[in-house]
Amino acid sequence: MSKVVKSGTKGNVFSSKAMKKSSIMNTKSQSRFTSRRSDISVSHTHSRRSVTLSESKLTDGKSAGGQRLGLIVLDEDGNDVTPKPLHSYDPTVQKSGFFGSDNQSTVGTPTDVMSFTSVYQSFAQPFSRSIYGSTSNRSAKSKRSSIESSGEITESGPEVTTGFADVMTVRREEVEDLTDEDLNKMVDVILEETDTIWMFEQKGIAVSEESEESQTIQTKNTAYEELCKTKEGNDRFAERGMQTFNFAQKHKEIQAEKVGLTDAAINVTSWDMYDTYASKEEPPASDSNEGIIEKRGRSLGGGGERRGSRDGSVGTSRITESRASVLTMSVMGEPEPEPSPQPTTTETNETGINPQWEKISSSESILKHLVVMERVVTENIYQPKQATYRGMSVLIDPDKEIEDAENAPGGGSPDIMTAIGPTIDRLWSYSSPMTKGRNVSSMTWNKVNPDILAVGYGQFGFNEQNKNKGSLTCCWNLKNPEFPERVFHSKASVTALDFSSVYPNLLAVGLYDGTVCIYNVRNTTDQPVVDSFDCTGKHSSPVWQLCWIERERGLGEDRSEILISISADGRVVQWSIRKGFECSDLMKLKRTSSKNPQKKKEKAEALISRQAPGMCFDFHAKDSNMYLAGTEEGLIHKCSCSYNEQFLDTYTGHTGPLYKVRWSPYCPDVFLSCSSDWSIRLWKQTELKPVLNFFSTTKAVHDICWSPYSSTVFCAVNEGAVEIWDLKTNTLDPLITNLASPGMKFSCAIFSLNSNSVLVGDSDGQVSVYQLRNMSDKNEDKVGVVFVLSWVEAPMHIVELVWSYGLYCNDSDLSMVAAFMPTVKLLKLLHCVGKQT
Amino acid sequence: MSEVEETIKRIQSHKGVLGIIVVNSEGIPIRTSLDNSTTVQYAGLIHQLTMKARSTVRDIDPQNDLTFLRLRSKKHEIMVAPDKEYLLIVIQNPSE
Repeated sequence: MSKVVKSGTKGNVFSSKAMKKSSIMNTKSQSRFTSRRSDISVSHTHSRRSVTLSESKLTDGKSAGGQRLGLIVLDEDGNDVTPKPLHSYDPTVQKSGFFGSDNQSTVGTPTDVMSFTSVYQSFAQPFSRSIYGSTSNRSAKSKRSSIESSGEITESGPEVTTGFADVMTVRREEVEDLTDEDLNKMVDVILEETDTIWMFEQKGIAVSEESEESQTIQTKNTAYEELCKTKEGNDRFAERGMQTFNFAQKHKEIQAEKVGLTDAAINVTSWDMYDTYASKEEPPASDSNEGIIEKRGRSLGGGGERRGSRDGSVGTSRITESRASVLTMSVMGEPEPEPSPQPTTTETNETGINPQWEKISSSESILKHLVVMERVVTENIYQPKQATYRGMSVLIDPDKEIEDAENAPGGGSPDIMTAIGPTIDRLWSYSSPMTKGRNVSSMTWNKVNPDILAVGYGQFGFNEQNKNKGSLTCCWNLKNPEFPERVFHSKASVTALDFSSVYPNLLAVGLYDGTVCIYNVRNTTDQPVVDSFDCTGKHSSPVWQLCWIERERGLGEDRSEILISISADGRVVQWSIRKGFECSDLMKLKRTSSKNPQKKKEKAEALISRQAPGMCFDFHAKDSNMYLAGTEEGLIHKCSCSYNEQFLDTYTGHTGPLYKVRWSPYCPDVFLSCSSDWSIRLWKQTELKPVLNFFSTTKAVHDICWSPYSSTVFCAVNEGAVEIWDLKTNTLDPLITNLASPGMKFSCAIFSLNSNSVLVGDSDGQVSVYQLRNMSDKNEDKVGVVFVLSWVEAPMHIVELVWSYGLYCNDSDLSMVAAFMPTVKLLKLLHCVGKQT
Repeated sequence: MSEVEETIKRIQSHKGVLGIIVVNSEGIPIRTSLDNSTTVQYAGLIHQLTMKARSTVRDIDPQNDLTFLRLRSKKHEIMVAPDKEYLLIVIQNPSE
């Protein structure tokens, strides 16, 4: 085996310093032949000796000056056994550019050299880097480290040392205690492109024929061949043999610590990345995240979780969560017999679960979710009814058995329905255990959201007032007919309600003791926003009706609204909430002596009060200054806000207290009134006597309501029945009568604004929704229902009243005449009627 | 009783409702009205499904998020209201 000799000086260095224990060096010298220089550095780290890195010069002094290893190796006894460098920089040694030209740097056997000569001669110059530098990081300049250790020892000194120093980097293993903080702290891992590290390079020994050097190389090749041929008997070449020392070999084994490998995987989704970027912009809520991580650590337990949290601490907080959730998913998804590591019910693991429940149940979002869930659950049951309410088609459950099809809501075949004629169909009723047994006293729709209904529960009569029970006002939502959304308690019975239109969340409530309160339905608190308790001008008797009226101010302010109330103490009062709760009298309802000449006795009677108790009022739709007020005497007074002393007109006709007065929504001059004298009367503004009287029952009529869809339809509620009247078809009898169940009395009614239904409240606390069916021929409605009411009372003349939308015509006959409306109002009606179809 | 408790009681007593489960963010049920084994089953499976559904929604548009999930089957309907920290699950038989 050919001996590899480096520079002469180096050989001296090695032989002189007998490094007894540096067997590594010896083996290295043997194996230098085949090993890479870079391996040397690596093997040193496996040494049992401590390896220290020091910048100081070599203390044991090398023969070659200027060598700075920067590394000191000490064996067990503390002897310095730092391996000598393989090459000592000798400035006197020139770089040998060509092999064979420098005697001092014999670079191996001639044969070895020669084989590479042709190639390496050309490349010898660039071999300026040492092999040692092969692992250095400073690879800015080109490094051509020759790997064949047999050759190429043209090393530059400084580069050797520096390469060495770089190579001999200390791998000091410090055992650190990993604390929790370390595990959880965020470690930024920055990936950069490193410099290029040349590990291995081998130049090809073939050169393309087309390259420039090919010519020279070819000539050299031929020269070489010639040389080889002439070698045999040439005097210039002499063969000589040499013997190398065969030193005893020794094996050394080292066992290294197993490199721990950890697998980490994550499913990256686009939303995950989005979340990461989004969270980076805001200050990361690291507290909550750490809290979550800790909770996870506690609750899951087991190695999988710890791994998750440790991995999580590497990345950002978001990645942590998603990673942990992925890990959790994998844990849950495995079909192992391991159930979720903790028992699931709250009894067995109270420490971890209950605080969680406490935290969750106190969060706001769960309440919202529960409300939504409740509505959804309700919708599942009420969906067919609600769909018919809205006029939508009913979804048929495809999995329902066929036998149910006959009972499907919506009735049977259309033929049957039309044959029956107009009916009302009870859809559902708003009731809940807390409202059971209470009398429904008033209802009103919200002006903005037609699904919200406010219902007041209170008794009408004095004897029935129950102070202990108190009274309720509930706000119901169409979406949940089983439980009201808002409940307000009050001591006295609720007798009147109205929603404001300017502030749709304000609900005015009038009570039996004369108090007027205003609630804000946005809150769920039970307290009114304002209460008239402190007002000086408050009512002393039950407030029978409330109404928010919009007034236009001339100053260009926003629409202002005032609250008007009428009460049994005979006053019509207006309230304003601008500063506190102020009220001022609008009108005092004086008792007027009856003009009926038959009743002369009345004048002599002692009057308890000079004022007549007011029961109801209604403002004119077009003229917000004018209103009608009905009293207990049975008189209807037309009043104006400008005059608070006198009535403009008085309509006589009723013989009992007026319960309701209502302007017609379609015809501006017509109004309807009902009273406890069992009658409903239709009036025209200009006539002081009623135009039509309706006697259909022997019970007091509590409430009337015009239909918003049809100009001739209204609903009347008396104690025993709900009646739908249609003046177009019949003025003597109601179109539909729905009797009350025994023991129950109806008390108030209101038409629905967005559906063809009427809601009726009864004395049992239920508000039933009835849908009107087959009310009228649809075509006629579209065209515009206009008809002629003919009324013959005085045989002297025939007065005919045409209910039109601004169009009057006289006809001498008693007949029904259909007329067409002006286009403008026709459109308005179509808009309302369109929902019926 | 707090509003939350009252609402839960009301939902439970609603017509057709079989049970209501509240599951935390790891899929562990923390409140339930069903028996243990059913609860565990529902909690684990529905949790995974909800995660998948949410991932789907957000993959399409990261600014979107899942607000409600309804699963209708032959026998009953499962309604899930997801949130960051919990899942609210209600099982109802609507045709009762």
